[in-house]
Amino acid sequence: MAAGRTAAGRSGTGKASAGRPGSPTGWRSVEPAPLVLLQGPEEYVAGRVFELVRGKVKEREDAVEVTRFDAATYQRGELLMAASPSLFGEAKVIEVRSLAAMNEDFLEDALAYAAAPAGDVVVLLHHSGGNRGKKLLERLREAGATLVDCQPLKKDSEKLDFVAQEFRASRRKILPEAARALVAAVGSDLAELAAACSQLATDTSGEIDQDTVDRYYGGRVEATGFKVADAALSGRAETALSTLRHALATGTDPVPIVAALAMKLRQVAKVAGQRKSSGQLAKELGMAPWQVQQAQEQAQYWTQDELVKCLRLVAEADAMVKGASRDPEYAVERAVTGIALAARR
Amino acid sequence: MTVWADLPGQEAAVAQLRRAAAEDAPTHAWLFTGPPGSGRSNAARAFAAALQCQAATPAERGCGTCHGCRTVLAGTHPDVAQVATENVTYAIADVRELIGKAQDKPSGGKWRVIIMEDADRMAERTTNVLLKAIEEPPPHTVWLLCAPSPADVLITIRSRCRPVGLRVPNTEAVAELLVRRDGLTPEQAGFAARISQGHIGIARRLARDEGARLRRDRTVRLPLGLRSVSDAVIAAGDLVELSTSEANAAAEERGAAEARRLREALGLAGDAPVPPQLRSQFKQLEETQKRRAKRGVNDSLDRSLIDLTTFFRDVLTLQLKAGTELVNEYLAAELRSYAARSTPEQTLARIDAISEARVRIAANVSPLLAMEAMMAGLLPPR
Repeated sequence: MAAGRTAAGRSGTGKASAGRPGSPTGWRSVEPAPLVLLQGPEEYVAGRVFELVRGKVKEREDAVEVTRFDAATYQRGELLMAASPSLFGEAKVIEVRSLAAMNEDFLEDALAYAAAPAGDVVVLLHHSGGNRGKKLLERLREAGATLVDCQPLKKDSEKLDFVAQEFRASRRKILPEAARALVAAVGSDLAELAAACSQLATDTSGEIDQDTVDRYYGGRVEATGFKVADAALSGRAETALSTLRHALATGTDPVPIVAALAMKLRQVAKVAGQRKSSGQLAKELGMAPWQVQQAQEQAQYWTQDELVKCLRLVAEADAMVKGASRDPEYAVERAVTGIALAARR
Repeated sequence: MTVWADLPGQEAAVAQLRRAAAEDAPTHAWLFTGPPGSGRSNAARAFAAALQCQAATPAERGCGTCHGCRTVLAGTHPDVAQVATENVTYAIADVRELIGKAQDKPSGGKWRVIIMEDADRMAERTTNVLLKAIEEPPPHTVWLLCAPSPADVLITIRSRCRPVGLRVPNTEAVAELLVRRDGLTPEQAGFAARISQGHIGIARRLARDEGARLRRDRTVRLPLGLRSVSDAVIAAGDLVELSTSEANAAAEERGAAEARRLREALGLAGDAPVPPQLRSQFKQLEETQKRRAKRGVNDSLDRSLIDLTTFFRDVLTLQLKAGTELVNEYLAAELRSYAARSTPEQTLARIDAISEARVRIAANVSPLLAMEAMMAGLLPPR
C-alpha cells in the first residue's frame, strides 16, 4: 500500500486548527491513540489522516516503525506480530486499509486485538463503508477507539472551509473570492483541490487573490448540465450561456444537458401554482424536500404560459440533439436562451 | 371458405391478388401497404397460400382446403417464411441470413415465399442489403413486404415492388369478422370495432380484455382533467408510467420463461450459479430482452396516443357539425361540453401536438419529455 498522496501532503504538520469534532473537517485534530477508526468513502481524507498521525508520532519519537496491511489480503497472525514489542524499542504505527473488503483472518485477529490493544502501539484502520465487519466496528467503538469521519465534501461551503484551512495550515492568506474561484475551477475532486491549494501556496508569495487563481486555474470552470439548467431556470441568461459554453467545451454531450433542462423544468412545472407546503408536495410528487424548495424558488420567475412554451421548446431541442438537426450545440443553446429569457427576473 | 375470407372490406386488393395468383409467373416482389390493423400481414399470408395452393385450375387457387393452403395459413409450410422483428429495427445480420435463405429452391411447393412484416423497421443500411436480393431473386422466390405506407420504405425498394394498397375496413366489416371468427356478440363486436377505428387486432383485444378497456378509457378522459401546467406534467408522468409498467409486466413474465428455458437447454439446475463460460449467453438474452422492452414501451405509448386522438377527432366532429358517428359515443355528454368550450382551430392544434409527440417518440426523444410537451399543448388557453 502506498502512503498518503504526495501532492499537497506538506501541510499535514499537525498544527492546523481543529474543526468541530465529528464535522467533515474534524479530521485535522486527530491525535495518535492505540486505536483509530476512520470511517467513510473519501480516500483522500483517509490518506491525510494516516499521514498526519504518522507525522505526529514521528515528532515525538526518535525511531518509528510503520507497518501497512491491506485487510483484503491479510494473513493470519500478521497483526499480532507487528504489534508485539520490538527489540530496539521503536514506536510502532500500524496502518490497515480496505476494511470494507476484509477477509475472515483479519476479522478474527482484529477482534482479538481490539479486546486487548497494546498501549504503546498506534493502530489506524480505514473502513470505507458497507456492512462488512460490522461486529469489528462495534467492538472497536466499545474499546474506545478514536473515531474519524472521512465523508466526501459535497457542499461548496464545506469545500471553501477546506480551502481556508489548507491555507491556514501553510500560514498563507487567501481572499474569499479567490477561494470561491478555486473551488469553482477544481472543486469536484478533493485531492485535486488540495493539490491546487498546495501549488498556490508554494508557487506564489503574499496574499492570494483572484488574479493569482485565474492565472493558474482561469478559464477552467466545472460546468455540468445541472448548473446550466439552474442558471437558465432562474433567469440568469449570461451565467447560463457561459456555463453552457464551458460545459460543451469540456466535452459534455448536448444530450445530458437537455435532459437536465427537462428535469429541472419538470420540477418547476410540477410545483408551479400549487399552494401546498413543500413537505406535503415532496410527499405527493415523490421529490426530495430540497428539490421542492429549489423548484419553488425558481417557480416564482415563471408564468404558466411561459412554462408551456418552454416545455415544448425543450422537447423540440431533445429531438434536435438526437438527430433532427445537424447542429446539436445550436439546438441546446437555443433552448437555454429561450428558457433563460422566458424566466422573469 | 377461401383464403381471402378473413380480409374484411378489402375487395379491390383481393381481386388484384386473385388475378396475380392465377398467373403462371407472378411478380417476384410485392409491397403490402395499409394503416395498422388493416390486415397487411394477413393479406400477405393469404396471397402466399394462394401461390402454394394445389387446386386443379389456376382460377381456383386460394381454395383454403388443400394441404398447401392450410399449412401456409397455419404457418407451417416449409417454403413460406414469415419474419417479423420484436425490436425497434431489424438487425442487419438477420436480414443477411434471410437473403441466404431466399436463394434456396422450394422443397415441395411451387415458390419460396418470404413474408417480411414491418419492412419500415429497417435502417437504410439494412435496406440496401436487401436491394439486390429483391431486384433479381432466383426464379422461384417471391418476396412479400409489409409497411404502413409506400413512403415508409426506401424509394429504391418501392420501385422494385408491385404495390398492394389495403384500406381501413369499415366498422361493419370488422364487427362481422369478430362475430364470425372470434365468437363475440354483435353488441360487443360493434362497440369494439368502433372504438378501435377498424383496427382488427386492437378491436379483438379491447373486446376480450377488461383491463385494456379500462386503460383506454382512462387515456381518453385525460384531456378532461387538465387545468394547469402541473396537471399536464403529472398526467404525462402517469401516462408514461402506465405504459412502461404495462409493457414491463408482459416482458418480465416472458423474460423469466426464456431464462428458464435457456437454463434447461444448457443443463443448469433451477438455481445453480451460471458458470463463467456460459455467462455470455445469458448476457445476450438479456440484451435481446432489453431491446424488446424498449419497443414494447414505445408501442404501448403510441397506442395510447392514437386513443387520445380519437377524443379530439370526436370534438372536431362535433364542432364542425360533420354529423358522422362519434368514436367515443359513450362520452357524448363530456365531448359536447368540451367542444363548446374551444374552437376547431384549437382542436386541430391539439391533434397536431399529439401527432408531433408520436413522431418524436419514434425519433428517440425521451418519452416523458415528449408526453409533457404534448400535454402542455393540450391545456386550455388562459
